Amino acid sequence: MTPDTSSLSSGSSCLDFELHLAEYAEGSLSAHQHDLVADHLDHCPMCRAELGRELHLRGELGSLPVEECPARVTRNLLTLVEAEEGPASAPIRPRTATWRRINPFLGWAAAAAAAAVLIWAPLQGGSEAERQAEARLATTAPAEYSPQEIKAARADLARSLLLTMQVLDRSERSTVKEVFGRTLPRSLSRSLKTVITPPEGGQG
Amino acid sequence: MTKNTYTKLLEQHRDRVFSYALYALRDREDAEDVTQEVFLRLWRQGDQLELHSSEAWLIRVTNNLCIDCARRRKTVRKHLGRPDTETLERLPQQASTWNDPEAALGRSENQRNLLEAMETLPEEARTIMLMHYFQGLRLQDIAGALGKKTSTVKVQIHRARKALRLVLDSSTDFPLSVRKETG
Repeated sequence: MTPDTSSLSSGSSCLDFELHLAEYAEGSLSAHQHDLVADHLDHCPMCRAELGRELHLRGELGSLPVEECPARVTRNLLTLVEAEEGPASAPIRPRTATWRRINPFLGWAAAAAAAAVLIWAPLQGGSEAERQAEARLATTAPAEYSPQEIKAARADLARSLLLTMQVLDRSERSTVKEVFGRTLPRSLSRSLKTVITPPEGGQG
Repeated sequence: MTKNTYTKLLEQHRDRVFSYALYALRDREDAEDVTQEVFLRLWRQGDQLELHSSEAWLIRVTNNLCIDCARRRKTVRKHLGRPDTETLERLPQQASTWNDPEAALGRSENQRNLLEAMETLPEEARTIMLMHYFQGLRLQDIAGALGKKTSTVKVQIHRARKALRLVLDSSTDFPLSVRKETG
């Protein structure tokens, strides 16, 4: 059961005062309540100790270092934003609830479709059916797709590609984690990559 | 929202959002994913979001996404059917990742102990602690963001403080542990 924390009086219990210590420390109590807590603290060593812990917690968690956001997050974001950014007058199409629900799966679907095309296309070798499909697409595309739809598709494609890259990157890091039992520090990981990656211009 | 405004907001808040996600999720990759999703949503908000309320919006969305992410992780673990013992065995390994020396450079020993102790708190209590002490949000604002009463937030903070004291009790030199006041 949640105790009543709304009111304080000179006859309140230590628990009541303890519940107000966070607000006392942040300075958001009314002047009257602030004075009541201060009076109680003057003669209650237990609550003074609790206030000490509150202030310590405030100091330690409040001074946690702000970690730098990795540059690749910013890079990815700007790529996505650029892909979604259209002509100045064209607003970004609002996403429907259904679209949002299926959105996480689009990346996977697009990656699977791209893989299927890569495998399937060479096998077909420019069949009659493929040529007909291409011709149909060439004649119907301009009429069937609005610029907004093309823009949205481009943004989805960029998102899918980015997701694929992230999945590859993550699986690479997971493999390292499996083999070494822990993640390598980024600086070491970068150095290893530099050593492993062949120089520009191939192996010859 | 113009791209220029967006870039400014991104530069201004990305580290704070990333850090909050990092401390809430204790996983760098998840924190990166959450940060990316938060700012993508910010862009998609466009002109619907007023600039003066963007900070509160960012905190609220970051917090929601962190909760979603933590729940998803829990569900994945559940569906993988890992027994509790195995999960427990993995904890030191996870902790060593969390204590990545590169990432932990700026943290003091006390802060590291405190963060580890906070992992024993219920998810909501940990969220409230971070929102209040790390993000510097007032109890009333936290209550608003989480859709709870201010009194509930007060009680959660009080209980979390007590729980942390118990966890850290074994650490003799940690000031949150029980100290008998003399005189």
